[in-house]
Amino acid sequence: MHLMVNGAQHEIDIPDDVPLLWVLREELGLTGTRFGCGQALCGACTVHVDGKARRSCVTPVGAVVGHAITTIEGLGVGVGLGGDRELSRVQAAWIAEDVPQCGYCQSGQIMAATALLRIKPAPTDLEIDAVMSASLCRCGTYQRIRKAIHRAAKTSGGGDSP
Amino acid sequence: MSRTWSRRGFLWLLGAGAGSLTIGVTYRACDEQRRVPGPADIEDAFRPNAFVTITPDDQILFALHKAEMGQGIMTGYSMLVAEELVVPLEQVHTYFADGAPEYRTSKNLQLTASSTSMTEGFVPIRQAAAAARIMLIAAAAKQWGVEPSDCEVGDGEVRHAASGRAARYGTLALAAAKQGLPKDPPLLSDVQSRLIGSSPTRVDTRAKVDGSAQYGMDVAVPGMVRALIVHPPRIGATVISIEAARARGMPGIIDILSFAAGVAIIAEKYWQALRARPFVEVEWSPGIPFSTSALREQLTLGHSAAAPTQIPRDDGEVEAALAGAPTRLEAIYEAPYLAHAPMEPQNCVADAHTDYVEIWAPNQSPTVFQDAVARLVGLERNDIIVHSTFLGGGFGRRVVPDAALEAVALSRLVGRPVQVIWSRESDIRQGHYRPLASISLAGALDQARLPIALDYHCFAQPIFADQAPIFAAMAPDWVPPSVRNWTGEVGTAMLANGTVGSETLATEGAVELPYTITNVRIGYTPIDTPIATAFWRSVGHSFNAFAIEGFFDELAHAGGHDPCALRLAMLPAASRARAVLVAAAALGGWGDPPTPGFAKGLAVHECFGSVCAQVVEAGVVDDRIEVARVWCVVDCGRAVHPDLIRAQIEGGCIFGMSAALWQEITIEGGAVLPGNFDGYRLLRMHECPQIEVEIIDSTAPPSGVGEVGVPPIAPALANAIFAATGVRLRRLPLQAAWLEAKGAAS
Repeated sequence: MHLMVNGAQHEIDIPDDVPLLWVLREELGLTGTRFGCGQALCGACTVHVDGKARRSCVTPVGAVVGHAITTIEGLGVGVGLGGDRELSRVQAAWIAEDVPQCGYCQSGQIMAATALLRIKPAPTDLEIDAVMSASLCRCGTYQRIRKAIHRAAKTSGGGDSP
Repeated sequence: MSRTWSRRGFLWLLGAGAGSLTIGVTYRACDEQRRVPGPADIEDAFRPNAFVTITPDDQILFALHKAEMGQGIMTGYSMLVAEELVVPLEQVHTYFADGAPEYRTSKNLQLTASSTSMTEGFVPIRQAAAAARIMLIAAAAKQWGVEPSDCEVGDGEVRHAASGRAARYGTLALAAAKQGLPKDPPLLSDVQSRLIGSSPTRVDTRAKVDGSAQYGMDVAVPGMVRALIVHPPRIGATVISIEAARARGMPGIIDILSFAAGVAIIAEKYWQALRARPFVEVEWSPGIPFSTSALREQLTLGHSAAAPTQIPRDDGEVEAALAGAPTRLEAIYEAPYLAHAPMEPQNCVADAHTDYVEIWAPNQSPTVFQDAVARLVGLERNDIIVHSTFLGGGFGRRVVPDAALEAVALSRLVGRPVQVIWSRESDIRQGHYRPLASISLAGALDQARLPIALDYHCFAQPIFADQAPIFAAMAPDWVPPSVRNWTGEVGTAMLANGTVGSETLATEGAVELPYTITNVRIGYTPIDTPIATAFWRSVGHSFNAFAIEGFFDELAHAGGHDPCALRLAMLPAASRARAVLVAAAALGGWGDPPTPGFAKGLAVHECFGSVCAQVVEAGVVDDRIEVARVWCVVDCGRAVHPDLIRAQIEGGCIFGMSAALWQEITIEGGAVLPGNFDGYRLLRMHECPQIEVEIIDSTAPPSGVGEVGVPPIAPALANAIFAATGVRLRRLPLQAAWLEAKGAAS
């Protein structure tokens, strides 16, 4: 099957029912998408499919063939994980607010927040709560996540991607 | 492979240039070497101690021997090093040190626990960097024929102002290594600080935001297979038979076998093991029909039956004072078993060879892991190489080497490196809980309606009894494994039942009762259950603060006192708790009219050298507890990184709040009932109140903040609910207790 991940085509031979999470982590080596619960309860596995947030731990890979999949590694501009990559507006806001503690949930939080800002470029606290309440953080960084989302919303350059 | 590992090779693995660095995923020891090459092997590097390395090409490497689990010690320690080397924080490249004897700085262990890292390291880590600075200066001064005292450092250079000469640290590495080690290097930051006291962006933030941070589950080594573990569904159940004919034929399945921990489904890829899981049927023995509800009943009845077997504090004449007092109160406070539920489930990669074992694990003690594995496989402790990764949460759970022992056992069976990944259900159900506690309290007020006596008796498992791996690991390397087994098992049992020393963990937070009550008795009776216990963020304080601060509040209300005023009246004048409480009351507007339907409660508690007070505004709406706001004040000595401290207090408060509101490990018929985040509930963003944190200004040495935010929230919340509704909740979790109280009333 052909999978389009972070703008690159991948040819993989895998049963349709394998959760996308494990295809990303084990077949493509993209370990930034995390395993937290396997039941779509925690949001650590959140990726984008055609720009919309999806729980990859319960999404069979067969369902996303032919769709554009974006992971945490695909946000921003440029390739690779080093300093050469220009991070997205949301990622920059996360750094400015120094959000992460253990950091394990943060890939999923950032993906959820990015998808939210695409739909609601200037969300209210209630709108943030409604969407982000689906992403758990055991370390309790919620207040900072909210601040970072507001910050990212304020640094919007008009029509550019969050 | 040559023992001299090229500097370039090592730095490539470090990913030099990125903000946060770990030993690279593909790094493995080769067959000729036991010890993994590291900075010690970089040619011509200057390495004055186990912590700081200056490479010839001007890199500053710092070995972090503590676990980074979100509490921020990676940043804190890096700041100390950058401070004393007088370089920007970004120039310090911090990596996770492997398990090694030189890093056993906590009771003979390389260990991250008890909120001790900054307290323990504040002077030694700065000294390690200062020693390097002194020797670099000495090297430059020698080269230039000038006095060291005429030289300065800045931006990674040594400078001699008078002659305008300068040399970068890297160029001085070879010469610095030849200088004498200073015994007591002066600390620049004792005079003036540049970094300490500021809040720079954490050194691991970038990696955690761009997805590159490496957790245990992200490690992959060549030839590695994966294992999904089917753990027993009931306490003590063992495998009777496995039906897996169809599963064995599925793609990628290597083996399906029974071993000490349960059944392992071993496959090339984890997704293959997952796909096979539904076709693996295991018949289990009945196990032990343990019931938490039966235990609670038994303990409640037990309070009237017997006196405590250990009495760690006995001031005055408690029984006489209680008997003679005009007003007397009694209550039983309860707290359940709790799981840690870090976001990253337990996992470990192990590669077992006949003469050494190499493991990669999120862990809070490489020494405990080295020792446990060594005793399992019959090797020396230092033949076990432990690489640490970032931890996706620790909270005390990752001191337990269970997943590592599983991975090692499986690697020995299949002859390949094995990665064990636990499901969330395994993570919640496989024991090692914060103990269940049942605490009876009796108190009395005197003629002036002031507390005159407090009698406390706690039934709980002795946490020490389950810490054999820790106690075995504390023995020196030369002690034979059989003796270490003995010290582990027998030693902890003797501590637990008070034969030698005593179990202190079950009464911590009660024994240190700060109020000036004349007659105080703190008693403890160990109970024995088949449930394994572990350190859970703030340990004994997590239930004792609830009991003590809740019951003290009851005494206050019984005497007609304002709960804050009574506390202030009964805390010693110069105590830190008093100052913290005053500040919290001010911050939280104690005494201001609350939101209609809501009320305020407060609590103050000291643990692990720091003090935290919290004021909570809460109420009950349609039988649902709602927390509106929390105000916290913390005294943690000198604030090394104020924003990080605030984050830890906020996080500790939220961690404690999830437990206070909802969390409970219920066990019936030996089966743990909750399995995932549907049954074991964590606070979500929309349920999170606004939390404000203030740090007391202090010049005392820094004390820890990882845990102190947890104990006060449960009692402060229970006290607020009482103030708002008149209903006193004495059992955690509070939401369940509220519904029980309602049910009982109707």
